[in-house]
This record gives sequence, C-alpha cells and structure tokens, in this order.
Amino acid sequence: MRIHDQAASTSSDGEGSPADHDIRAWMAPNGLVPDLELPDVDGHSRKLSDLVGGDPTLLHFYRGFFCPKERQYFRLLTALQDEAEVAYTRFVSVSVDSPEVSAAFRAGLNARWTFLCDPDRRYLDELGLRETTDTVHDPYLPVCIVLRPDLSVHAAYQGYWFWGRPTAEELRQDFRAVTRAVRPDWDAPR
Amino acid sequence: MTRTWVALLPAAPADADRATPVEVEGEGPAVLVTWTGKHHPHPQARAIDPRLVGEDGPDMSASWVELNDDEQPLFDAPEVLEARRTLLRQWPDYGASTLVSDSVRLAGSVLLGPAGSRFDDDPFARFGIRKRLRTGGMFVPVPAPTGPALERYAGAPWPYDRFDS
Repeated sequence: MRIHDQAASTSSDGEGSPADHDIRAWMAPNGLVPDLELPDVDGHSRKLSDLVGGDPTLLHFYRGFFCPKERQYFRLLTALQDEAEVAYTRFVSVSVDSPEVSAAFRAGLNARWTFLCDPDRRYLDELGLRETTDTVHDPYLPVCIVLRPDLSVHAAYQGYWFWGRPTAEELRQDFRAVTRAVRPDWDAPR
Repeated sequence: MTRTWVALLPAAPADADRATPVEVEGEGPAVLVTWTGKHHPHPQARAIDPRLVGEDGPDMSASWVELNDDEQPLFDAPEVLEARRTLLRQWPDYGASTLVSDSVRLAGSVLLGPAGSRFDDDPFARFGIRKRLRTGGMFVPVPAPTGPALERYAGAPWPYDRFDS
C-alpha cells in the first residue's frame, strides 16, 4: 500500500506501526529525495543522483541482513531484476550494514544492483527513517520509493508490516508510469 | 554519435589523439591509442565507455579481449548477457567496458584492476584472444554501474548508462 493511501486509511486503533502517523514530506508524491552520498559495497562513495542517472529507480531501504522479512522481500526483488535488466530500470538498496556485510549479503542473494551502506547512521534522522522499535540494530525503516530521474517521488511504500511493501506487480505498474512519463519515444517512433 | 575509440597496436598511427606505451604480457611493448569522433578511425579501433579514458590514471593491470570481425557474437546473445551479469555481480576494482565497433556485436572487452591483477575469471575471455597488460595511466577508475539494467544505451558500449552519448 502506498504511503499516501496508507495515511488516508490508517485507523486510530493503534494497530499501525509507530511510523504510520509520521509521513515524511519528502516521501509524498512529487517530493524530492535528498541526494544521498554513501559508500557502496566496494567502499566507493556514490551519489544517489549519479546512480539514478536518467532511469526509473527503486530506492529500497531495508533493516539489514539479519531480518527474515528483508530476506524474503529480497527474493521478490532478485526475481524482478531479470525484468529490470532489460527495461532501463535501476535498483538501489540502502541499509546500516557495513560494506563488508552488505557485499556478502548481496553476493548470497545473487543481486546485481547497487547496495549503499550507512553504518554511521548518517541519514537515519535526516530522512526520518529510524526504526525506533529496534534498539539493537538501530536500522532503517523498510521503505520502498519509486523515483523519477530527477529524484522526485512517484510512489512510496512503508513496510514496517510486511504487507505494506509493494508487490512485484505494483512495482511494474509504477515503473511503467515513470517510464511512460520520462521517455519521449514511449509511443514508438513511426 | 561521438564515441571514444581505443586500439592496442604495435605503433601509434599519426592521427591518434593519444598514444600510451604499454607492456603486453608475453609479447612486449605495444601502444594503447585513443581517438574521439563519430567515425571508425582505424580497422582495429573499438568504441569504449568514455568514462574510462582519462589523464594520469593509476598504474593498472588490464585484461584485454579482442575479437576478430568474423568471431564477434551478437551483443545480446545469451552468453554475452551472462558475461555482463557476471560483471555486475562482481565488478573489477577499477572498472570495465565492453568494446564495440557497431551497434549489434561484441568486439571485445577490457577489465581493470590494481597492478598485478590476473583476472583469471574474466567472463569475456572465452570470446576471443585475451591479453594481459599494464595500462600506463591511460585509464581512470570507474565504479560499478547501478544495475540491474544491463542493456546498451543508444548503442554506446556497456556499461555507459546514459542516452546522451
């Protein structure tokens, strides 16, 4: 469920996560994601704007290798990467894991996209994505953002509860919408 | 479209933009030559990801694979796709580029790493004649592409990842 839909439907029964009522402005549709700069698994500093380039991009914050929900969700993404690889579409995953841990996790997943590492928790508070209920790992909230090339938000999903995360079909629909908007030759040239 | 072209030659042609002496393992001295322009400048010239060519790069070793014209597989052949996937999984320390001479075929590759790298697992080595060489400062490091996208952009050599070439 997208965050802006979620906000409209969140009840006051307290069942939602602590983050449900705290919608970050930058995650609203057309909000702008800060141009994060973090090391990748090889230790190279990478800017989000460079990584996005001119393509639709999934920006995926996850708790860390330790979380079974994350491992399960990565199975969906690693299946979807076979479509994204031929669709001029990019993924970027971000966690508080170190480059060494992220490299091993990425290799084990057979993932072929960029993982960014924020072991210093540099952006947790700036983005408002600190998961306050995990005081052991102090991780990012699981959030998926579908970005346009200018780093504006097409759609955002908050996955504190697993079912809040986008399905593969929702991501396909989002990528289709962004691609249609950014490719001037969406209607094939005649 | 303007491309950056490279060739590994015994001697530099007069029209080359740059020529850097290199040492090819088992063969001896050669010259890495570059040109910039729209037209194929030399029979052995191959287009390369332009970001790799720079000034005063670090001392690097390279795994250089060159394919003769009659040996070049389609760039989108399954075995070439799998070689690109393999690189995305484990990017060379200093970068990599496919080498192309047209918009449909693979004409070679170059993988770059710190001096002394052997590249025993170069996934492109199976396609043609592989040489190991020291690059003499011709190349500069380029980090891994974002992935998982691995198609060519407007015919540019992968992993160049913009349509603006």
